[in-house]
Amino acid sequence: MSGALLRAEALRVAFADRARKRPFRSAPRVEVLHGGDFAIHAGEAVGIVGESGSGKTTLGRALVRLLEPAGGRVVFDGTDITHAPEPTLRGLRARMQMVFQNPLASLNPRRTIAASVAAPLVARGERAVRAPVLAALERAGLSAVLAGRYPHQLSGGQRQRVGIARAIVTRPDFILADEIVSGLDVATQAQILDLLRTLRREMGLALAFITHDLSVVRVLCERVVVMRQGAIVEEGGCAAVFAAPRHPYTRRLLAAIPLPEVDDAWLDAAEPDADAA
Amino acid sequence: MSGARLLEIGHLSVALGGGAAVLRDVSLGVAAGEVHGLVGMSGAGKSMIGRAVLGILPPSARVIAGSIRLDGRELVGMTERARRAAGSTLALIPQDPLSALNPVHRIAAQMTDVMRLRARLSRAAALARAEALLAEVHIRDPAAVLRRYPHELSGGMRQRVLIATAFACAPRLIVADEPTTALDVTVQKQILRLIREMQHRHGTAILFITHDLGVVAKICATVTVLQHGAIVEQAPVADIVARPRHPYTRALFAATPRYDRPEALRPLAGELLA
Amino acid sequence: MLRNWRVLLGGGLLLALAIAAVFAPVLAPYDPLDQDLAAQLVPPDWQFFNAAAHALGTDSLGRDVLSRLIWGSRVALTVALVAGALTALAGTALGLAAGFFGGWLDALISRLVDVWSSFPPVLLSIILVALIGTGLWSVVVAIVVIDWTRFCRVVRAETLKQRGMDYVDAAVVAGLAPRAILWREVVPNVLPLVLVLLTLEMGIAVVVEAILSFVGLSISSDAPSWGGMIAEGRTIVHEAPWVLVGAMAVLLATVLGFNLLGDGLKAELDPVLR
Repeated sequence: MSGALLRAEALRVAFADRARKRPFRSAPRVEVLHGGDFAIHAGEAVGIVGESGSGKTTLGRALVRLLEPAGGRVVFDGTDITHAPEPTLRGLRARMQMVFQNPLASLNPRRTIAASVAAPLVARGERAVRAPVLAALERAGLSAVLAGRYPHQLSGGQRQRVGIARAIVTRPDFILADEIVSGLDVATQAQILDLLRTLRREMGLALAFITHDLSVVRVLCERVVVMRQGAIVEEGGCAAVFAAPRHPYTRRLLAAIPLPEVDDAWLDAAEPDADAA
Repeated sequence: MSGARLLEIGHLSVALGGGAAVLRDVSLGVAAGEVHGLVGMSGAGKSMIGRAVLGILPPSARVIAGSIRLDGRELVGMTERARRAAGSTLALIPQDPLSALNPVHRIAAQMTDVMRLRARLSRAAALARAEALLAEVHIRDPAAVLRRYPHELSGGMRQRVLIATAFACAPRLIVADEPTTALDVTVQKQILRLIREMQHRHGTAILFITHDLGVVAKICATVTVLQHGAIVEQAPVADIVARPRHPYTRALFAATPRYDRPEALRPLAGELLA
Repeated sequence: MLRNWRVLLGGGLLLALAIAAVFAPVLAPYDPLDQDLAAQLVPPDWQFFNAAAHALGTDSLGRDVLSRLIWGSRVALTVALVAGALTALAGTALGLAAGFFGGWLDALISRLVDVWSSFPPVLLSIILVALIGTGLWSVVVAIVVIDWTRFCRVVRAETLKQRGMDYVDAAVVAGLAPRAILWREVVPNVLPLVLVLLTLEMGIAVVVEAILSFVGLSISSDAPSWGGMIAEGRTIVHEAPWVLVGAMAVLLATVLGFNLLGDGLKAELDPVLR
């Protein structure tokens, strides 16, 4: 995996546990990601799948250095960014962008759509932002009419398109998408997935797609990483993993997805009630 | 289609205060002991049907036409008091198990309050019944869970508690409003199995509201597909899944991502969204 | 914004106050310091358009109450504007710094606020004014020194909340520098709150000035100020209640005006609520 665009080795992330803090001591740290190895090549789409508490969002945030890792390495296009200071990171931000789960929360309620989408350009010191912003909005399937609106005036699907427009406005090499279709209904979800497919094809984007939904990964990604309780349990090409999952947890996940087919035996095959403690 | 069904909704129309119709001429029937799925996208009106049946329409909405008969008794226009008297024949399994439980009360209080109010059980009897119900939903240490507060339980456990509570007063019909949407997929499967198990054992009919066609296929016997507050298709689940007749139903299936057929995904055409 | 009755009424009251303060020499029928020992404790005769009459009566030294109230508005407004603005500036700056940059700076500022708030405010202001001498500017200093914590606390909490929002993370990913994030993302979301607090603070400043006048620690008792009039009016309330009532009424109207404006602005400045 030497030619990877973005690579993480033995990545560990820990949080301070404020609930157990004692006076005059620093809060004890709880490790939530235990040594993750991850690599993504230029133009590739990798799904990061797991249930709540699996550490998938933590891994993603450490990849784009919204979090500073406690151990291990993150290398973006040959530059070690594990502990890179903010100014160094800012130079790279235009090349690695992110789309957030909740577009209403990730768009400043007091700024117009155009202002939010322009932020990555403004950060680079660009002044002529109008044309690229409108181009990004159009790419994301939004009419220029919406540029002057505020986030709360848009529908959920439109807001998520704004988030995507903001991520592509600098024509990045890599985009991290964190559960970006989970709040949408199937119709809107299908449109956003279709848009991502198109953008990948047209822009050659590398995409790390964090989700709890294996079906979505299969539709969008070439490779999949399965996470559980802060560790990667399985990794491989989608075709291989979906056809013959090796790890028992992956098999459990796949078996739990209800396909839209009538199958009376499916529910009977439910595993014993693991959480009924 | 005889009149012998448990729930009979006839030509129901509901409008918001401003006059906008959220349900238009909706007719459907649920037989005793049957699981009937209500499918549609957000805003299709599926939750509104559930709320109309339960008599908890938002203050701005009102029934402008049609009837809702439960066991032959008309629910539309029934007074609050009459509803309370008849209340124990209906129950709800809500979507968000956290906000459906009051954070300041222990599980015991939340479960027994309903039974003491509706079934007029004594405190001790209600507690014993709550413990038995928790055991029935496969909670391993019911007595301990009864002493806990909602935030001390996992999402799956909370949903089990709510399912137990829903069955507490032996209802004839349960409205399950997206009961597994907030859960992890492995937990969802356990909860679906639990709902089916309880439903079989108690012979309860369920109006199962969901946007997930996969969930519908696994748990429902009959399905109603809604779009913009109107019914577009109604059929036994095997027919809907194998031979969806309406273009909208077909489009919904095509828009559902499937790991076994990744290439088949098709976004809805614009005219179906409008 | 002008359709909101709170903004209209609050703004109207304050506009009247501002006009009174600015045009005091024109509006006041008498010199507020002019004593007329032949006309002590004259009751109000309500002839507002007759310059020779004492519309709101006179006090124990024969000074025209209406004129003193009008001139007193200058003191009130000066204190409200200057003390309010300076308090807001100091508290907001420290609150933003503590909430946004965190770490040792936050620890330092937060502890300072804790220690500061543990002094009884009235006592602190009396000690302060006793130390730096009486007068209008001492009152302003006292208010700023005591009340900055009110802004600091609230602004720090709101800044922390804003820091946790996804759009701040989004700005980090966009590559904006911390200062730019503070100005673009955080400040616009904190400012409306500061504005609302500011209007409340101005009301408080007017009251504090009145209190300090009441205990003789503001400007000299000769000069017209509402607090001084309340202090004097209290001693002669049985012979001439109009002195006390007049001063209390304008004080009440002013504070009410600030509070109404604050309430109204809170609703009007929220783009989502609007």
